Amino acid sequence: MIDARDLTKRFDRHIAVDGISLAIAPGEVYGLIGPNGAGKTTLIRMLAAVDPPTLGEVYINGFAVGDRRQRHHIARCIGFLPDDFPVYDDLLVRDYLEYFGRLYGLHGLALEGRIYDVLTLVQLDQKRDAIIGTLSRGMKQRLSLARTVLHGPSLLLLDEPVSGLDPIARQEFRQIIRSLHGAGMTVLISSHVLSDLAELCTCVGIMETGNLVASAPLTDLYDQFSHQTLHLGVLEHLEDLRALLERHPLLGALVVDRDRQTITARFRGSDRDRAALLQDIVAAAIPLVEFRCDRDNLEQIFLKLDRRQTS
Amino acid sequence: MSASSPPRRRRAPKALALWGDRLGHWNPQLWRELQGLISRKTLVLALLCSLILQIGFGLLCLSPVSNLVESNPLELQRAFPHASAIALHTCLSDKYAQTGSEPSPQAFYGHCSGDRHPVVQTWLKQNLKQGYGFYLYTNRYCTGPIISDTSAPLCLADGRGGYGVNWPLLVREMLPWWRWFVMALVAVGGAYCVSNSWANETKLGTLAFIRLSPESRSRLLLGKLLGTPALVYGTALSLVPLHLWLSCINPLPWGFKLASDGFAIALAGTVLVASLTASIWTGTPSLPLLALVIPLLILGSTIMGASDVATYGTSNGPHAQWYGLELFEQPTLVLLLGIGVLLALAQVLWQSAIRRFDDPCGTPMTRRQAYGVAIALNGLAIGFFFPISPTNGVSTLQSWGAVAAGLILYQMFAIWALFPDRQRLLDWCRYRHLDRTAAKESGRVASHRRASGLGQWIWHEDSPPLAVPAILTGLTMILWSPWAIAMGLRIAQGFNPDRPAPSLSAQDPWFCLGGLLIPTALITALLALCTWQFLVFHPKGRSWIVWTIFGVTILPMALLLVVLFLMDGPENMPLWPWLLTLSGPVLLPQVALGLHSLLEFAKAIAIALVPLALCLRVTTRTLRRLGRSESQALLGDGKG
Repeated sequence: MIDARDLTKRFDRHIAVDGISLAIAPGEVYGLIGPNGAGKTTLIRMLAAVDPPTLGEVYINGFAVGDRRQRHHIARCIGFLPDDFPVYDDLLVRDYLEYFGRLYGLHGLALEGRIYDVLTLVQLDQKRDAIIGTLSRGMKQRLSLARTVLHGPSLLLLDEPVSGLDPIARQEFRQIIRSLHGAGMTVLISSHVLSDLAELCTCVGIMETGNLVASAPLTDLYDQFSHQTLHLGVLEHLEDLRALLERHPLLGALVVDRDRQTITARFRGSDRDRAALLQDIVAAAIPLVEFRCDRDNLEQIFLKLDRRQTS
Repeated sequence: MSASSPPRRRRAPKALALWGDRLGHWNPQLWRELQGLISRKTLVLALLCSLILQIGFGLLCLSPVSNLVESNPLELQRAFPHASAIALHTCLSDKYAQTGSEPSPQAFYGHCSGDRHPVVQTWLKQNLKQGYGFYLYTNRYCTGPIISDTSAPLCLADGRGGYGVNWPLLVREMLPWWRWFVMALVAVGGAYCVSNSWANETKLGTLAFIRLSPESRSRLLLGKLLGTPALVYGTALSLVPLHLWLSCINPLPWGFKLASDGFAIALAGTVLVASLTASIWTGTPSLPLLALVIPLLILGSTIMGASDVATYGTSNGPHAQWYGLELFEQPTLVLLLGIGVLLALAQVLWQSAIRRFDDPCGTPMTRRQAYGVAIALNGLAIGFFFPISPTNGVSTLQSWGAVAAGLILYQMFAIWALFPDRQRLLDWCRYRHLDRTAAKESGRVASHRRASGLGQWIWHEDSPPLAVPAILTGLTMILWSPWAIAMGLRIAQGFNPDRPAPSLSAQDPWFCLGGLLIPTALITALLALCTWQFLVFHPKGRSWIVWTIFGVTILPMALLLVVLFLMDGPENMPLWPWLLTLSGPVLLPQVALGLHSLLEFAKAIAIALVPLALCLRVTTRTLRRLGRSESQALLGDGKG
């Protein structure tokens, strides 16, 4: 779907994106995370053919971005939603969508049907005759998303789509993205709200000062960078449990809390290893009241990588 | 997504909806602009404006012809107790209107029917007896006599109680004003709407979406151009009936009237395209508007001038020939030529607008366009120098200074329009470096490399326009060489024996052409220096380059004008100062006519080439070095 090679963007002497290569398969939801100024927006704008790269090439569905002869194909493949989502406040919702639909060659009943579909998708079907200036920020953002998917692109590029939204609006927005992903769209989304991305994405790329420091499926990223912490609680026989755990090769140093009858330890195994451990404890007839495994979330992984990159 | 059938839209008139759908399909941008603008309120407002404009214009035109009609001299005297002016006649011929000169009282008094009007006669006698002075006051719009003080001429009623207004003449003269007025309304109003709308979209950030769509750029911009001033167009359309009526009753030939209308439309259209282009380039509404007022006023006067010529003839007027055609005798031809020039200008501006919209970092023109415009401008200018008549040969040679000045100005414009963005310039250095490295590695033939290098300097849009002044001068010299040959032959044959020419030689026209090399060399040297500074110290923007060169051009010219004033003419000045400044060639005809010397001329050119060679050397070395360092910085492959 996306094949970017050695993408570099320079603004005079400042290198905003530094030789990034990126491949995103069809049907993925790829999350792009990074601190402010990491180059996420610049990268997305280059992928969307808004800004030309200083160096490097981008192919979307095999079409070269920047090649004027293939501009029409590229335009139909991509739906781009920038972070500031400007809209025409003087138009009605349906007129706004009609305008953009026509820009993409839709007309007549096909356009009517498409507008109906996208307004239903973003839950604005009741507002089709409202003036855009009267809509709330969340509604405008959803309308922008409707505009972005109106022509049925196969790739969605969303730059900070949930910034400035309240939790309910964010939840609604996530739901819409899931629907679009379910409909077969490939999505590249950048966000500061990492919990949202953790819920949505299948792949994640982490950017730092113009570089892509990590890019992998979310599960691989967890496996590679996430630590598991095992919490165990017993009614009695704490020492028996401690003895059993000390012999286990996948566990780190144990932290024993005798008052609360709990043991905490870092675990380095897989889900299967964890299940085997549980089986051993049960077999040892230790009255277990708590067996919980916490993982580092995306935010902690990001902070860890950020610290590593800084050092 | 749901595939269920959509609800029916509520659209009142079906035919209108169908029309809107078709229009929207043809040009979505136009339909969007109309949707944002057209409402019952705005339409009523436009019609109201139209009505007010028509009434206002009518009153303005009728102001010289007051409807105050008075036949009693005593009452008139009471009305104007301190009047120093009194009545006269309108029996003056159209010659008066043409020349605009004031006729002497002796020439006309007593010979016109108006003067024999009993009211005037009585009044004159009374006033003369009382020792009042009087002076002639004429008004072409009155058929009968006029009573007037210094500010308000009044047409006296004739014996049958008519108003005494020369309506055919009034209407005939109203038409050009009306045409000019409607054109100015469309041009200024439309330019404001276009600039304002573009500035708003730039501020809002919606242009990126439009740019991303597969819709053609030209259609999008056309929609903007036709849509945003829709109310202004609507107001202008509602003025058409009055315009048609004025045209029908105007006695001038229809060919001329249509050509005038065409010129007005072309001028307004060009102004609108220029405003759109300027808005795309600057993103602000005020600057384009300011820049458009002056050309509008200057070019608009062409319509008035042509109308005057068409109405009154030019037996004593100025003369100008263009490829042998007497322009001041053929106003229709002038207007048609003007339409052609305006359409060509609009086309260049339109291309520039599309380029900039498509590529926000691009240059306003391509090299090909710049050379094409230079050829067209030269073709236009040569027409004023051909054919060389025996009577105006010397003055034609002297007018060459205007061509030289025009070329220098166009070179300035071309430098501004073709100078690339700094990043593009750096990219070009890098690509050039890689290309050369690859060629070296693959062992390509050196001449091929040289040819492709030259092509880059001449045609590549991202290369610094160092070769452009030379190419423009070269084109000018080639295109003007037939003129130089013809002029040389004419000088050899001798001019009119009644008007002996100063000492001229057949080489003088060639000196004029060759003199263009000096400012070109100096401009190129300055451009090379500015490019070097631009690359090394990277100041913002490209305009300062043009301003620097312009300042260096204008300053010596101003100083030399002072010196010229002090030394009482160029004949008393040595040749060197003229040739060493950019202003020298502008005054080269005088130099060629009186002071030329082949040796001095060759020395001047040689001296102008020395700084050029030095500056080019420094700049090309810097470009090469930057290409190397850029490649190393970005690729890190050590190819440099």
